[in-house]
Amino acid sequence: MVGLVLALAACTTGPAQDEVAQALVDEGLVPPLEQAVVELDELATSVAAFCDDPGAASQAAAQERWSAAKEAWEAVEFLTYFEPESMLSTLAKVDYSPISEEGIRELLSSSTIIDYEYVDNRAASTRRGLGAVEFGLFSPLELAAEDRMCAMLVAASAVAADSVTEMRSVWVTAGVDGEAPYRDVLTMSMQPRETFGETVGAYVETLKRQSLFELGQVLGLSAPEPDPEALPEGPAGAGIVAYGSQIAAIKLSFDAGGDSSLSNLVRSRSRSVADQIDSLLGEAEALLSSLDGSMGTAVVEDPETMTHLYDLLRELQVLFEADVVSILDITLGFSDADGDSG
Amino acid sequence: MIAVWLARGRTQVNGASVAVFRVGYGLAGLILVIRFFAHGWIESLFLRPEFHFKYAGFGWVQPWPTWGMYAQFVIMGLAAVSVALGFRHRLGAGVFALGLAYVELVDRSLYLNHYYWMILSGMLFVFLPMGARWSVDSALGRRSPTMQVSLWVVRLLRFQVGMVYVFAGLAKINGDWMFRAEPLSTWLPARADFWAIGPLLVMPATAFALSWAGAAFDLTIVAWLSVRRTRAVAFVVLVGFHLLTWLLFPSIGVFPLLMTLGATIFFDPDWPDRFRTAHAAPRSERMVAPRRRLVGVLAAVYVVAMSLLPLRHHVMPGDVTWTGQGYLGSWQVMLAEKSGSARFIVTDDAGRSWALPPPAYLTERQAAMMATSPDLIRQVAAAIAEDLGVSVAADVRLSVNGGPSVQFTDPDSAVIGAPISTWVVDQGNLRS
Repeated sequence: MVGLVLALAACTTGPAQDEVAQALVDEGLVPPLEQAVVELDELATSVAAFCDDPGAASQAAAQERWSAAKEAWEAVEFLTYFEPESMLSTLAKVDYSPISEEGIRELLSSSTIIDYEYVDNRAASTRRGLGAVEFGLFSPLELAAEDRMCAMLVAASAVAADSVTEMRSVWVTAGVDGEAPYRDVLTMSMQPRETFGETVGAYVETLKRQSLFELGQVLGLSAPEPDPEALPEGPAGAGIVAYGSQIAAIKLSFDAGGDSSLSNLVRSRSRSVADQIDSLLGEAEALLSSLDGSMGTAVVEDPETMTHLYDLLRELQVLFEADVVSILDITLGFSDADGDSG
Repeated sequence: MIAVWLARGRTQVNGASVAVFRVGYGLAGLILVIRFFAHGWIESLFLRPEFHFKYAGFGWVQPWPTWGMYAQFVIMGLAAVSVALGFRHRLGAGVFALGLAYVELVDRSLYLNHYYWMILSGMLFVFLPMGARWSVDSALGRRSPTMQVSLWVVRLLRFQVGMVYVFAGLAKINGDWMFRAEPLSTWLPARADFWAIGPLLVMPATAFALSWAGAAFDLTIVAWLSVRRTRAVAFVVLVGFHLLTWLLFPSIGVFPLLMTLGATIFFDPDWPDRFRTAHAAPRSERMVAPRRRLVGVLAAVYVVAMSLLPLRHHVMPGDVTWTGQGYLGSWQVMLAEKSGSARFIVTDDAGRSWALPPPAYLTERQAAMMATSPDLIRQVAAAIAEDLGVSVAADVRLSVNGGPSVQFTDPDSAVIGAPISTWVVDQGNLRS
């Protein structure tokens, strides 16, 4: 009898929630973080090599490493929406946006000693991170190779690399002050529904930022006038790549674990919602990969396509924020108070 | 017949069951206060938010400064203890009830059915002789030496408990609950890892069985408790029901404890004495209290008001689950799972329109609550309009009871100053 009940249950329920949480963390969240550590380390090495031996070839190599590091970072950027407070300081040191080009020029022309300690502890978030490295590396060679610019590049890339390594440490090896690694918190301390709430909340915040705070403002859909300042890219023109990486990261984590994936859990409760999410993520990925060049160019030359992208991102946000939250009975990013209503 | 029944209400009965009710209320109140401290809710719900949703006419109710909020909950805790001990219980009940009312009034998004019930009950305690037995006051000789109360007091408390079950049961008679087993079909599978019975919870049949059982329980439990022959079994079922709901939905707070202790009022008024002695205690001499017409009228007004208030949504346009109109005080207890995604469409004097996310000053909890309630949406829209000097429409998609999200508000219709029916999308057949 008990066996029959369990068999019937297995037929109707989809994957076990604890297995989904484990697969989500092990296969969807942590591997991109490991990759980001590698890529940012290589960027720091490459920038140091460029400053040791400035030249067109070493600059191009460093620029290439920057693009790889940026792409890898964008795949884990949504992890900064998770609970540990240290994630916010990591974000501020790795890729705060937007940077202040004017502020960086002021710094370079000042007498302030630019070294690791300064960038790590005293520099404003708008004057460091991948944005500052991009500003310097993608400048003309003579500017990029200047002593103070190089000092900033070396320090900023090293601080960014160390910050991602520290983030990996919080997640994977040991937490701050000997606390359990956050991956263990997600898979052991939290109920699976809390883990899903953290994850879906990070998706929603990412999609909201992309649509309402960045692309929507650039297009004038979430601002009274189109605002080019909101463009989420610098001189390297990596906005499209960044969005592609962020969407791919959501897709990777949503589908991580195969049968034990979050998407499969959603599918077991609502096939139509899971199908819609699959379809929209795929469409957004395809659209982004079809665009060549920078986001700035795409906004000017093909505003209809970018408006369509905005709509896709908005639709995905709604599906996660309304439908998935309801289907999985989760709350996003807050510990619930007493509740007997509805 | 009715006259006889009313006259019998003046009969004096053992005050022990009323005392148990009072002690239970006080203990539940104390636990409620402790939960606010333990979960950090004083900080997260009152002190941290920069914005609070208001009830009409109560916009002036603001949170105290930090020390004041903590002091208020300490005072509420002491008041709850005084109720439990029966020490100046009228004052204690009044202070606790007003304190909880203030908590509710500070932020409308915090409305809870059982807080509302505790406010009503606490205010009743101010006027009822709850300290006839087992109270410090009676020990100090401040109470009547008869240790009795009028039967109408017991009846009024039974009504106070019974109305929750009856109206919650009536609210369950709708298509979603009875024929889609929602929201249990959404909630139960999410608890698939529940100890031992987890695999059962994911089966659709379980949600249907519990939906129907829950409706039957709510609609009939008062009757079963009212009949002496079925009372004991009914109470065991009641305890099991509330234990299960508490285990499955821990965020329901002290509600199961309140209702379990409250339901003891349906036993004979002397049940605590019998329970303690394990023998039938000799019935005390039946005395009849003098008629007090004003008290009778006030009690009748209360009963009539509490019987009509929960039904008012039936004469309001739209479905209460969808519009929220007539929801407050209607005992819609855990009847719907709602999640929304909101943004606001603003238009300035130059005719330019653009979308805005919910303001950053809303906490995540407030933003989530706002997206499901037209009244809260309107308050945020008003705040945006005041800040930016624009007209505001709401673009909200809502998922109800696990269904696909649908358009909840019309993104082309202004919200401020307009009746809800003009900007909340009609979903009249939501629960048909």
